[in-house]
Amino acid sequence: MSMITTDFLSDIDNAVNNLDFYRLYKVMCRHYHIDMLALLDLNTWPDDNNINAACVAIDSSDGVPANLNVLTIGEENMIFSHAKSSIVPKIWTQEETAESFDFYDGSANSCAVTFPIHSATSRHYVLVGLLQKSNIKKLPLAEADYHSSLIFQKYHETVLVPSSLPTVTPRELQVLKWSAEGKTSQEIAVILSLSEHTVNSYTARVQQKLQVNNRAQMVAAAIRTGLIQ
Amino acid sequence: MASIDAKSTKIKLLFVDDDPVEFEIMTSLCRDTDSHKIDLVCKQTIEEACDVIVAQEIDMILLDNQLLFEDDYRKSAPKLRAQGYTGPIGIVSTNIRSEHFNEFEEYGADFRIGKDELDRATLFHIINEFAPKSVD
Repeated sequence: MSMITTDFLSDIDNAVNNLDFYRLYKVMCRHYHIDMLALLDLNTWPDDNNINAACVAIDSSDGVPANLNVLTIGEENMIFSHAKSSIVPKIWTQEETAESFDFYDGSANSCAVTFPIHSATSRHYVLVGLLQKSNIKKLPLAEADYHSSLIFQKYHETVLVPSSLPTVTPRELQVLKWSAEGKTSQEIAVILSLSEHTVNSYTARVQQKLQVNNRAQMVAAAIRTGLIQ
Repeated sequence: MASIDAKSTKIKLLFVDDDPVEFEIMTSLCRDTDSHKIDLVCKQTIEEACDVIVAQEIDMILLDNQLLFEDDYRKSAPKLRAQGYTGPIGIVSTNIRSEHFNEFEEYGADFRIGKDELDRATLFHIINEFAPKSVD
């Protein structure tokens, strides 16, 4: 199995939104013969039984994905308990996988692989993959772990936790200014010739940068910090 | 024990491509499942696409980067936005790695995807991310 090409590394550099990272995880799926790869947020688990998936990539010729965006998983789950406390990647047996993935039909005859990820800011994630038993022996664990960490590093800084510095891009500033004028996302989308989805993404990024929770707070914080007048 | 969330999604998708062969591929990708019902509308030109978004409520547009007699998406996507369309637009291309695709947000597009990357799992992922419309 060869190293992923330089195109892959260039795609990591150019990734800007969730879908770009989904595409990167899908490349990993195809390269390592992984049927399903999910980046899961373990920060509030097991206090909260729900685990949110940041990204789920399924590689299947007729892939009709189950909705894995929110998993309800008990704290006794062996694989997820291990991922929360461990720092090393691990391959799981078919029996262990069947027990921990009893919620997912696609896990039949599969083995799981986990890549625990702990960010510098003490955030806990796990990238979990499911492979056919015949493919697990061919998996270069250290290389796959390296690639998963490369993707995560960019994902973390670009989408999951953008810079906390209160600097905004020109587009974000436009959205901020129109929000301060009382415009809705729909109205701003028409004004800037963007989609409402993109306007909401810009708004969410600005709110994260300013560490606020809603539009009113966002506008107030922007005025307070001098971003807008 | 563990469980997963199960909702279904129904959307109207406009696919703009000058090659009718691509319509057959897209039609195959869009066949119904329990989780996704996709009402697909296919058009070959940007003018036809503009007529559709004025006449109908479209939940998402997949736009071929290079249409016949058109410049690339940097000219065609703004034409769709000029009609007041505020739903998601995704740019589809055989070569998504050209440098000009890195600016897709500046031209009113929401995402880019390679034609070779677009399978059913990816299409459903895109719908869930950009145009979720849950139905009972």
